[in-house]
Amino acid sequence: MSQGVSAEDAEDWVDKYSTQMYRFALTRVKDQDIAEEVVQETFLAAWKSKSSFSGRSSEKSWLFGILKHKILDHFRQLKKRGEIEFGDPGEWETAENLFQSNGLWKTPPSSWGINPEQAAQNLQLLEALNKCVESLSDRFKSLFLLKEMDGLTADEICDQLDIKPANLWVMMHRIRNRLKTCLESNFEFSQGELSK
Amino acid sequence: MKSLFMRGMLFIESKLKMTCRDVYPYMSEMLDHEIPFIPRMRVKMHLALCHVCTFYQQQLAMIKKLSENIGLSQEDSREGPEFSDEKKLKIKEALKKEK
Repeated sequence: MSQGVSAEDAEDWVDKYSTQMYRFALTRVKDQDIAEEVVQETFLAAWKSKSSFSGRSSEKSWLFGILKHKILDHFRQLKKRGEIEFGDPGEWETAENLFQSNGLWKTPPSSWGINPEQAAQNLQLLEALNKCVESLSDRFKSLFLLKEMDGLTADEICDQLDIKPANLWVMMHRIRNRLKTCLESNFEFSQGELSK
Repeated sequence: MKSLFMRGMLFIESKLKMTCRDVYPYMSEMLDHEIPFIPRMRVKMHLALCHVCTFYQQQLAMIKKLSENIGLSQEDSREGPEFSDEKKLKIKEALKKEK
């Protein structure tokens, strides 16, 4: 495929994938002009590195892989300009509030009564989780989207956003904890439906 | 009076035993990367005996897995604005300059 990528192929990519990529970028950067710019940069980067496309993944996966890194680069630039800060994990409750002095849970977690396969098929649960992610603060939402939803590695995120790995683990824990609490408030696990 | 062996065993147990509070920071971190052998074993020992912490860890793992699924589904989103022909043309023109 790498030798076979022609100029016409590259233009076909634009016709086939630009709308999906634009919508995806928009959910991440929240600005139409920036999303458009990120999509354009992605196609240009893809064309320049077309020889690296091995054909082992689909061209769509390959393009989205580049797009996700362009989005990461967007957040790196925001950080560089001081428009977003990732370094301080301090926000929300710490573990001290969750446990008694003897080390036991104050409010022990109970079973959700749903297995991972059932959960993956439950559209209302997915909708509730998505809403909970949207309710996160900008910096934590960005971090969660990059790490968890876009599958970028911790090394890439720490390197680009200048975050210490130990801080990333703490922030990821607090984000997941926040999402867990939010889900339990917005989804009836015993009923399998949204509670609000 | 406890034998030296028993006292030694009690000492080892006290050093290995973790409370829910001790285990808590590791349960999310273990989803992200492999933690060192000794704490990993101590957490596993705790989880084998503590269903409450096991629920907690399963819930964090479920959130992680579902989030991955949501992320993938967003690559095929059918909702949202179209990328206009004008914008597509702009990219094609930029590509032509690169050729």
